Amino acid sequence: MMVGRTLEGNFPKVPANVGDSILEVSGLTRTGALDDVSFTVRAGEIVALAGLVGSGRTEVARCIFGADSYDSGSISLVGVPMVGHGPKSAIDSGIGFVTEDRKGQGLLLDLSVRENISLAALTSLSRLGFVDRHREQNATGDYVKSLGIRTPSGEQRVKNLSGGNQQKVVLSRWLMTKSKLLILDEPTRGIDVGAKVEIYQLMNRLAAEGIGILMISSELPEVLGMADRIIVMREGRVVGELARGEATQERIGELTVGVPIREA
Amino acid sequence: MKHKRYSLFGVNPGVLAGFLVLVLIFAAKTPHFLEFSTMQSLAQQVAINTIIAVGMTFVIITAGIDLSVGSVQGFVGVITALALMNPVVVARIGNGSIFVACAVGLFGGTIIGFLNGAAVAWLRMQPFIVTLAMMWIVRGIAEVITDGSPVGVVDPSLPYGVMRNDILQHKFTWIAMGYVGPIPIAALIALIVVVLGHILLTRTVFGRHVYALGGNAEAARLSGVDVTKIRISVYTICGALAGLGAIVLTSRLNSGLPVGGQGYELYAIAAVVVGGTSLFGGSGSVAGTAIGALIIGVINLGLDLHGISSFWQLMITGTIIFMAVLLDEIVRRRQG
Repeated sequence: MMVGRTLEGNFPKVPANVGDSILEVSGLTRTGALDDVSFTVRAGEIVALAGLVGSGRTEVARCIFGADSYDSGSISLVGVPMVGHGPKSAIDSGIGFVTEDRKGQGLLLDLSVRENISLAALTSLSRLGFVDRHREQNATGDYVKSLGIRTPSGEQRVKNLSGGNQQKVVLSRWLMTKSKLLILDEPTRGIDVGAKVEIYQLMNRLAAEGIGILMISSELPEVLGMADRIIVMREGRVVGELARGEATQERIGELTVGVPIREA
Repeated sequence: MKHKRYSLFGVNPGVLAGFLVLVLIFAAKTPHFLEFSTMQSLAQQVAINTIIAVGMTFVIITAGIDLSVGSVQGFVGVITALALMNPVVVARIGNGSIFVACAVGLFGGTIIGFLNGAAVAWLRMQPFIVTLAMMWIVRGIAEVITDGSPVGVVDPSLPYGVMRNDILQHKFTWIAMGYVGPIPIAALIALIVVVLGHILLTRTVFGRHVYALGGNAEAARLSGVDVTKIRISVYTICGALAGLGAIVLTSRLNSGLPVGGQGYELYAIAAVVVGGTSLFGGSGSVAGTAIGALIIGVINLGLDLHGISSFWQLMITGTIIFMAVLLDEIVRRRQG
């Protein structure tokens, strides 16, 4: 697999072919964390949630995914309001969540690559509660190949993989569940430049396949390089929304901190 | 990157090697050790601990612990014996009361396990504390029900010590002491429990979720694993198997002892840990636990055959368990 190592190749952004709305968040409020947050993500679109750490970005993601509860507001996926509770029902309705803390909340470090990839989709690989090992091996092997996960075999323990390959394992888990919406919280944190580009290329590919992507990132170049739309949050509120063309480091920075940044 | 997990049914090769070395040493040094009848009685003795320890394996893989299984021996023993000897039941269905008694015993163990799981999962209490409390509560119930005296499985119409082959208590004794061909029934029950436990843990979605929960509870939850359900299930399984072990124990003692099974929780935990299951959760195997129970059984039997006093046996058993876990820890650290 070719890996672009040059700086200009870092953001291989492909123009989005935007379809129908996938995620609609409206009036999402969680006391002390989120205040009347509304936005949409459409099919094939990469939307970035920008803002400082603590501005409520991860809280939004966790509420959408059902990991945390919220006090008021509504979330609907492909036009259907999400009334279920808990991550299980979010997964069943087609949401995948790559968490910020890969080792703490994403991976089962002592289990194999295969077991990590198939975890959320096991029911679809089983009959009468028994895992179809053959199908599981084939299906997970396909993701190892198509995402270029560098591992001696699917039986390798995930803790022996590099950060980038670990991240691809987590991504595979959510591709396997046929997610319609992928939430990526700091998707390239702690992984090397080459793997970052691979993750970006993968995001493009998934968007082109019609998956909606909600990306949370603290790296402005990444936000500017990859997002079709940028939603800026501050203190639990949405304080601005910028289209790809109008976003600059300065504008995002101003919205993020809430005061105009003057040229020195 | 080249570490592979070599294993046979998930058993750590070190555990298996240790077991074989132990058998070889005893075989070489002990008269009659490798004889068939010795093996039969070994299998019979190890059976109860194996049955309990398989349930304990499920709990420990989720990074939990169940200290109440020893007391369950007393509690289930008592209610099983009471159900078995209940005059109303016996008058109605005669030997059929054995089935009633077994059902009562299994149900009793299952309920205790479920309550443990409910407290751990719903009330979010520490497994150690929950099951420690349950250990005393259940023992207390057994003592209160019987006023502290054993419930004998005897026919009151017969003189003391007299047994007839065709009657109830003899048939009940068959569970622990009977044979199918050359194989002790108790060992057969243990074998079935091990095989089913192994299949449940390694082949099913449920088993995978048990490992996931033990490996990283938050990651498991965020991957759609119903961690509450899994937690309650593993403690319920553990309680049910403790109940099954208690039925075998009651059959073997021919009575329900309220003080029966004291310290059995520690034997079960020892079998699990010696078998290579980590107390930190996320890894381990039922087959390993079976080997662990065999190791402890072989040590006790071998020392018995050498006429070594039970005081020395305690020290030696303790030391061997310590060494086994230390060795496992060293191997683990090297593998990274």
